[in-house]
Amino acid sequence: MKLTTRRLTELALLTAAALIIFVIELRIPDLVPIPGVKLGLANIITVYAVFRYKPEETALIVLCRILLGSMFAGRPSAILYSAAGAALCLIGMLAVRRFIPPKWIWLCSVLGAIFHNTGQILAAMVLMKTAVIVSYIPVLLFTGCIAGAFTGLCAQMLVARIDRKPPA
Amino acid sequence: MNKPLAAIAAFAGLVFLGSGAWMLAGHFRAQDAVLVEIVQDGKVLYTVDLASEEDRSIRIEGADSWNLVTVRGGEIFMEEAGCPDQTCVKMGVLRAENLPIVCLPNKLVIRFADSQEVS
Amino acid sequence: MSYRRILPAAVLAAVCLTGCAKSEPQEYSTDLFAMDTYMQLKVWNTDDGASLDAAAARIAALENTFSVTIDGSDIARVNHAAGAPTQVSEDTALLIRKAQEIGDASGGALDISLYPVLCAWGFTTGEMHVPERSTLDALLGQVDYTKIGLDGNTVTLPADMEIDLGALAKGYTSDEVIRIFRESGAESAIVSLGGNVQALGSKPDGSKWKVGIVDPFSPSENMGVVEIENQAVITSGNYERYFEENGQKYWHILDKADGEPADNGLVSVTIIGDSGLQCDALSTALFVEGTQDAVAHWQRDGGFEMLLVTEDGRLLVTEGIADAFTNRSAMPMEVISHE
Repeated sequence: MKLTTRRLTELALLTAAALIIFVIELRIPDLVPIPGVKLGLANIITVYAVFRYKPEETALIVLCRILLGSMFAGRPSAILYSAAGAALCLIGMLAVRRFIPPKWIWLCSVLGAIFHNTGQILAAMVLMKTAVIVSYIPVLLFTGCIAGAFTGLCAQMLVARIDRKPPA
Repeated sequence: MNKPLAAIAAFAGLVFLGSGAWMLAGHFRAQDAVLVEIVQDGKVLYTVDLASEEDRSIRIEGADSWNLVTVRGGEIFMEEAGCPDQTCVKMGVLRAENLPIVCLPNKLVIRFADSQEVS
Repeated sequence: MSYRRILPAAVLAAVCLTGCAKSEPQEYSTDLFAMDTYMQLKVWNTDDGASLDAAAARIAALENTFSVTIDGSDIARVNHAAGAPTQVSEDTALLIRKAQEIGDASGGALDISLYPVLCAWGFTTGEMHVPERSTLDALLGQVDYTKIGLDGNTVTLPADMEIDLGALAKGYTSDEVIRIFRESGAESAIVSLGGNVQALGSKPDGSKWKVGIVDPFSPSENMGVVEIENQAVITSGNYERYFEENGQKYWHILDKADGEPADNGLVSVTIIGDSGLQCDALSTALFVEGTQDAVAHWQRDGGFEMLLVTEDGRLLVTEGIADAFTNRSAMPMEVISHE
């Protein structure tokens, strides 16, 4: 499996773009004052990569974004939550990718968001060992669907506009 | 629309509507719950939800004293105490998060369950 | 370039960077009964709660030092020394010195040698009753804090006198708890010792602490909220420990002018300042001084802020804290300033 310099540069650019979006989103005041509820704009890049890059390449982008992003956010302890969410999200989207036509990318993103929030909730249950989190599940899933549809729509437009061959 | 895609759409739609309904239902329930703890010497003896608790009195014995805690009409207060100074009885009804009802001789505290700091 | 070479490098770099970042403080809290009150401590720290345990141990140690009723405490030994010089701890000497200083600054309004009179009222046992006038007069003859001899850590108390540090001990204790938290590296902590609140830093999210101030006319409610950081908020009020006899209310803060509950126009005095000890002593002193003298005291000495509630329902707030106070009572807020 070869990684050409051109490919590496592309991945690095996408990672940087995701990080920039991530950092900018940190500056936007929370729309809803509930931990875990956010738009997750950086996922635009993830969804885009899912449809335009190889699975392992996408995973590399996501891994780097999470590691660096949690440090930029100054909350390294939150990394377990993001990692659990992102891993599940990526697995879910990659699994259904081949069934998704270009006009339905947003739906793939909604599914990813559902998986992402499920991963976060599972991580929180394991780490915090409390049942209080159960009350967060509906609000996380509900807002996650909306946020996922939005970021997915953005990614869908990106995929349509950027002329690049899908992965082999 | 191919079959797997329809399944995915149905799944996402179900999660969306289901969590929405769950959230609404939970919202109405959570809004009403007013949880109060009765704690003796660091141990939570009772947790009562003032919103749903029937009117009742609970007698709590301690090593040197006793207390009669009463829930009535969605309020909680110390009705009687076996100590001479009666500070906890005079305190009246529990109202503020930073002002628990405290019985020193019996090491008994009535406080809101999710008390935020002192604020 | 292959993944096999890139991945380990990326992971290594990320792990190193993460390792440098400070781990996030966790919340540790406890509540306990000590010094005849209910205490709540809360600290955000990265030490598995070690500083919280240290604080609880310090509170227990200070109680054993200051208590009037625990045999072998500094104060019990001083009171029972029958006039002989008694060696006490640094802590006790510091509190007696502070009591003398605030006593002088308040024209004797704070007097730690009132203890025998407090006993006559039954406030020390909980069996409260109004004592005979003659009893009070006889006991007041032995009340005079200026007769307390203090040389280094040696206290000499006339044989017929007794002292207690109830007006200062809790304030000093919260100072000490906050000091322990600060020295352990915590940046955020809040303690409430029977309603006396002291904060270290601000809340973990950077906002100020909101401290409720009890409404003296309805002690189960707050009359307002004051926003602070790194400060103590300490209140003395006539609602804290009192009893009623023949329709008359008697509270535990006594005036040595007549040995009766201090009734000089104030029902509640809240002092806000950097030192819990200073605030605690001042809250009692100013309560006894009464409305006019309390305002004059603040205008003269300064160094603290205060909220006064008078028996006729006025709310006086010093200019330095007026903006940080949110009034939720029906009383209009009157701001007092330096002339």
